[in-house]
Amino acid sequence: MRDALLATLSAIVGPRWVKSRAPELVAYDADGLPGYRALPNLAVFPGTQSEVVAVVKALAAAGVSFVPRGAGTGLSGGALANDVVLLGLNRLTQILRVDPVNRIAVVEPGVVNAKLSRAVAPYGLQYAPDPSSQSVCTIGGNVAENAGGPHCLKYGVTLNHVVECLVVLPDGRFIRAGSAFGESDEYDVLGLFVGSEGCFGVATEITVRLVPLPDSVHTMLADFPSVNAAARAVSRIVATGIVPAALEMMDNATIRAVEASIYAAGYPTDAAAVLLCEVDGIADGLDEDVAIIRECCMESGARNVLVASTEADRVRLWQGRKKAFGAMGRIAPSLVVQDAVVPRTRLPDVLETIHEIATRYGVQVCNVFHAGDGNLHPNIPYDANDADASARVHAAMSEIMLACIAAGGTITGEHGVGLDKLPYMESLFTAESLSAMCTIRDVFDPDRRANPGKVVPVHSCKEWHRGGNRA
Amino acid sequence: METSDISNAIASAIASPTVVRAVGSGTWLHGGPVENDATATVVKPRGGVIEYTPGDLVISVHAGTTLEELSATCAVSGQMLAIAPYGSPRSTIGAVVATATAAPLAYDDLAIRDLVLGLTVVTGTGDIVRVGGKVVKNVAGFDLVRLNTGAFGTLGVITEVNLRLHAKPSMDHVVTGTLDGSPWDWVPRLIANRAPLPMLVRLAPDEPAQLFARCTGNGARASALRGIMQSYGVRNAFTVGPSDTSSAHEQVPMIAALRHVPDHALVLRIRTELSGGDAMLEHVRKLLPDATLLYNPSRGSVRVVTDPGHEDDVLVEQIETQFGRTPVHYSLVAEQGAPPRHDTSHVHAPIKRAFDPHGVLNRRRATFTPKPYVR
Ligand SMILES: Cc1cc2nc3c(=O)[nH]c(=O)nc-3n(C[C@H](O)[C@H](O)[C@H](O)COP(=O)(O)OP(=O)(O)OC[C@H]3O[C@@H](n4cnc5c(N)ncnc54)[C@H](O)[C@@H]3O)c2cc1C
Ligand SMILES: Cc1cc2nc3c(=O)[nH]c(=O)nc-3n(C[C@H](O)[C@H](O)[C@H](O)COP(=O)(O)OP(=O)(O)OC[C@H]3O[C@@H](n4cnc5c(N)ncnc54)[C@H](O)[C@@H]3O)c2cc1C
Repeated sequence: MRDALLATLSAIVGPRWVKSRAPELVAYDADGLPGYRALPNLAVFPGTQSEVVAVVKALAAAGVSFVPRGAGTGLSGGALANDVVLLGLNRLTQILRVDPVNRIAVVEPGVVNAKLSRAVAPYGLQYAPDPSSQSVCTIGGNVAENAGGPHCLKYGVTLNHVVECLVVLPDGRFIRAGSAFGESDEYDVLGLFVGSEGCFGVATEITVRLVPLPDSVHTMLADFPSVNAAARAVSRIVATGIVPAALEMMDNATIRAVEASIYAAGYPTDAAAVLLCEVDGIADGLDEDVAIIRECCMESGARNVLVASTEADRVRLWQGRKKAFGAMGRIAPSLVVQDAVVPRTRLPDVLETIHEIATRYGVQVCNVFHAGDGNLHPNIPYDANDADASARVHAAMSEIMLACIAAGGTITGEHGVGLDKLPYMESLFTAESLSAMCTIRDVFDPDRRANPGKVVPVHSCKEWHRGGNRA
Repeated sequence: METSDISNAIASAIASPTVVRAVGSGTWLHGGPVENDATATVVKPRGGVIEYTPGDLVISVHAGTTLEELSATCAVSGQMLAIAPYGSPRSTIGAVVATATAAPLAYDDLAIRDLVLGLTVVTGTGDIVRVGGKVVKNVAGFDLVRLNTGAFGTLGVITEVNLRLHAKPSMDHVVTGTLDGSPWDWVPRLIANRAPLPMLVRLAPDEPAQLFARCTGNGARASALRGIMQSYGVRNAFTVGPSDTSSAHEQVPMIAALRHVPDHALVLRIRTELSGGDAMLEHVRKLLPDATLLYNPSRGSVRVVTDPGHEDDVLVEQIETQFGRTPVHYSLVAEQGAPPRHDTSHVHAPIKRAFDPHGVLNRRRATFTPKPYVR
């Protein structure tokens, strides 16, 4: 069976692009989620859209499950392929068309996020969603996860920037979701597909919206003697009606990790928290916004607000934030980067609860997050090879996630459910809601061959219950 | 009606069997076979605020809450729902979500799709499904929020809506003025707009084109945006929106008039690529000299408001064949849930079947037949 499939796939993509030996497959046994490893049965890397279709059709004919994979930077284990076929899309790297007048670009799924922005910059345009992994993650992966990033506070997440997707369904048929120029009266299949984590099919061609680069940008760093004061400042800023391009918070543990690394940005290491705040747009009025934000920070108890005066200063301030995860790598070999969202007004007490949980389990939590959205990233550096540490980290994270749910929040703002967060889905949604999710999955993939076992716990599906009852 | 009552009504409808029709304020119930079905059980979700924490800029309301009530509630805390859809302020939020109705001068060009965070929906099996959440970013599970937004109640009756609000900026003006010449002259300049400036052009027969722009931000930015607007060649500009901080645009007669459509009008919505806007305006103008055209340059869309003497499918055909430009997307707001004109039926029909296996909810029309917008 495996040999027959190997031969079929090799005939489609060429033998070089099918990996079947364990040493080759090990390279794909993990994504960005530490502590989980799963060896694919085979890995296939089509080089063109028509090869993708042929591969998907061959897998359908053989009744074999598959997991699409972009760059494998996902943090929820979505691209893990346990004994099924891994469908790598990272050879599809063409920017097929840039249309600056209509402000769209048509790309293949393996195009790296930052590369797209670089390619359209000469037209004075940008692809706005900017996950911190943008130098490696792919647009296909971004679509599948509905990725966010620091600038999503103002510009919106991936969903707001994708207008059309060509999707190969798990049975090999194509659908066109959305419309590059459409104000569609059809079901919002595109809205449904974005964020479906590879469970509905494979995006093979993606049309994105481009937005003008801002005429002017101001970046500020405010430092606070307490996390509470920083959280107060966030609420005040948002209440003024100014929509900052980004409003990011880092706590003391994160600041110290950054400052001890090669990404040192000059953050004050004695601050309990810093806020990195950016405003951008047309130049007029930005100075006023900066003044108002400064006032909000000072009135909330900031010790100081620094405004970057040169482009180099600005880049330096951002470098610390964007490389914070990398900086945490110095503390321990593995890092859990969690992702939860709470109502903004609950930030102070949830952060306090997180601190309490971490202390109880004897783990170190570093918080670096999109404060304007209430999108927390509690991160724990640890050693995944140390069983005791792993167990404590796991238990602490579970409590943290449940605390976020209890505060009226959710378990993921941008990283997806994947495998990692399956257990929390039942705390978040009712049985009927989960069953409705199974229902929609079945429309696209009745055989559950696309990214099986992810996103919705299978035993939540009504049919499963029925089957179970009968048995 | 409460959510549980609606669930029961659907269960009875399945048993009877009959059909169920969701209704908001009933300001737009023309078209579609369901309305004409005298035996339909009408379900009308109740109104009212469920939870509002201004500090979170999030509000949860029952679906029957009208836009009027919603904006009055939020205004007390200096906040707003960043849409300004066509139609009446008496429209309910449930219907606005169900129809994904577009907004001519929405703050920051946001659409309802960008602002719905979570929904409670009663499906065609009577199941009460809660999807999305109450926080401004959530990607947990499959996005049934987006799927129900714009589904015209064909997949479920929306009973509760969680919405993202925006704090009102210190200045929020609507500025208007006239544009000389033909669309060939000014459309390219409008679409080249780099500023966050929601705009709408009204082209009425025998009148110069009139540009409306929503200039928001602090004082310096609002006046700079006004300057940018004038640089497009606008003449005789003046402010029609409130000039202070109240931004209650619904109350401004000239803007209310923009959102209103005369009785017995036919409304067509057409969309093309941004760069095709000028050609499309010119073309529709020639075909329908008596129509009023409402053109949104940032979305490349046109609302064509004309009299119902026209048969809409004939009109669409004329526009399509004579314009001869691709890609162009047409849809009729004259109809509720018009069937897709493009072949995606192998996904759309199964989606409908999945959530409404007994066919009790609002139906999509099986064929494309003329149905004028008549009030
Ligand atoms: C240091 C670091 C920082 C990060 N920062 C952010 C951040 O700021 N914001 C954020 O949102 N995320 C962030 N992430 C998470 C991750 O980068 C994103 O989720 C990204 O979108 C994943 O893209 P990828 O190409 O690596 O996808 P993969 O990890 O390969 O896959 C992710 C999921 O997408 C599916 N998939 C991939 N391609 C396709 C396709 N073409 N069609 C259908 N399904 C597909 C996979 O099956 C899988 O379920 C970060 C990750 C790291 C390591
Ligand atoms: C000038 C003008 C332009 C317009 N342009 C557009 C447009 O471009 N696109 C567009 O879609 N609409 C458009 N509309 C219509 C607009 O959607 C309606 O005015 C408004 O949404 C109706 O609100 P209502 O509460 O009166 O709904 P109703 O008239 O009661 O219902 C309208 C529709 O929504 C469904 N519905 C109502 N409540 C629910 C619910 N809780 N759950 C599920 N379904 C429900 C109904 O079954 C019906 O199909 C336009 C109207 C005007 C006057």
